[in-house]
Amino acid sequence: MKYRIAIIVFTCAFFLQPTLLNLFRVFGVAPNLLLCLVITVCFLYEGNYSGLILGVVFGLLTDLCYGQFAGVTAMGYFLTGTCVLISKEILNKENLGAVSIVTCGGTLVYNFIYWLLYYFLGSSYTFLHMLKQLPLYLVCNLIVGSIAYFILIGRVTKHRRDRYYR
Amino acid sequence: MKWIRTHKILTAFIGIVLAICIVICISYLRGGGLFFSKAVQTGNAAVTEPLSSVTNGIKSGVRGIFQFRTIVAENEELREQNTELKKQIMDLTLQQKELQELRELSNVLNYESISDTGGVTAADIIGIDGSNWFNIFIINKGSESGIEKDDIVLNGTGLVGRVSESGDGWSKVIGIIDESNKVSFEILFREEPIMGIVQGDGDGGLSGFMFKGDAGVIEGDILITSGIGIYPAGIEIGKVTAVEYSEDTQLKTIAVEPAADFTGMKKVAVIQ
Repeated sequence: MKYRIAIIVFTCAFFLQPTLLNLFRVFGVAPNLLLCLVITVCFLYEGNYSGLILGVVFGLLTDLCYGQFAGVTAMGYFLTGTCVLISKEILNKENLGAVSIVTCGGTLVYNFIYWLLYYFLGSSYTFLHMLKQLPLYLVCNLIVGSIAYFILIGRVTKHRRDRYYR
Repeated sequence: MKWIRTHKILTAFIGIVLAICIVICISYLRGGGLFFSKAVQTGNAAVTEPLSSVTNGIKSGVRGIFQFRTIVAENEELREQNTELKKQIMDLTLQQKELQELRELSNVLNYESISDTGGVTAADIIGIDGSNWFNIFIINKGSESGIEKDDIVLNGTGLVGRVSESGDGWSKVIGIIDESNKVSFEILFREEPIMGIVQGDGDGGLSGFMFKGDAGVIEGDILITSGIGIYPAGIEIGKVTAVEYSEDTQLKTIAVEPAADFTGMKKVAVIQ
């Protein structure tokens, strides 16, 4: 993904996350648009680290605007993006099942890192509380991740249903 | 150097992780944001506020369509409450003299109530933390309205939290259930004051303990702030949902359901 397009997409996600996305909260849980973008962009685009770099930048901005401490979300996005980059060596990016696995795995990694960092920074939230929210959070992210995948896969692989096209 | 040249990606990875760790450490030591966070937040508030108005408009419209019956019932209930409150105001007016005497006494005990504090500023919530974990949100009033760090935030139902940062046109509010800060409370409608302390239980609720092991607290009791600490007296904190006596500590521990509904808030009031 070209950096200028990626910047526009991430900026839109950054402003929609705390505002418009609250309309889609289910039992107090909303999908994490920036996380879904980091995962999808890192998984689909070859030889391009825009998802990772913008994940760090917008993670830091999220922390500055809404977080208790700066850097926690940035670290979460960076390590999640790194895990996705490693996982795409063994997974087929044109398969929706593989994308679903990566989205679920990425969400788990991100949540664990987020909880762990805040735990060390003195948060009172328990591991159990994190686990309780996780199923709904996974479903929300899976839906948004799949939508992002269907939008981006057409740009990454032209004529992907034509097996003779190379 | 040769190792760095041959392992460029790994070096970049370690470098970024270290850089973020340093940012976290600086932020932790500063007790919040970074040097440039106020400028970022001012810019963010300017963009988020109109978006938030649109969101609230859609939300209200959709709610009006699908929850018409609920709103009518709620309206009826509020009318009844209004009549009841008017009656209570009459009773309270008669007790004003007694209150004056108590206020004089409170000065001696360094006790602070809502009426003793400065002004109250109403504000709209313009952005909510998207992490699904914390109840941190941004409001559209800040230092230009005199809002400062540690000002108290409440809504129509009770105590919400406190201001953790403020700037021109925005303030960051952190909910009471997110904090390990303790809130001193007393039980409402008791002749002799029954006091204790509550804090976030790490699971989206509040938990605490009573100062006296034999305190007569029961499920359903309403907790209000006692006026000790940064929170003024008389603000509803929540309702007791469970009471337990610990033999080891000889304290009565309680679980509390917060009065404020953190999921559906649009407007709050800040007490300065």
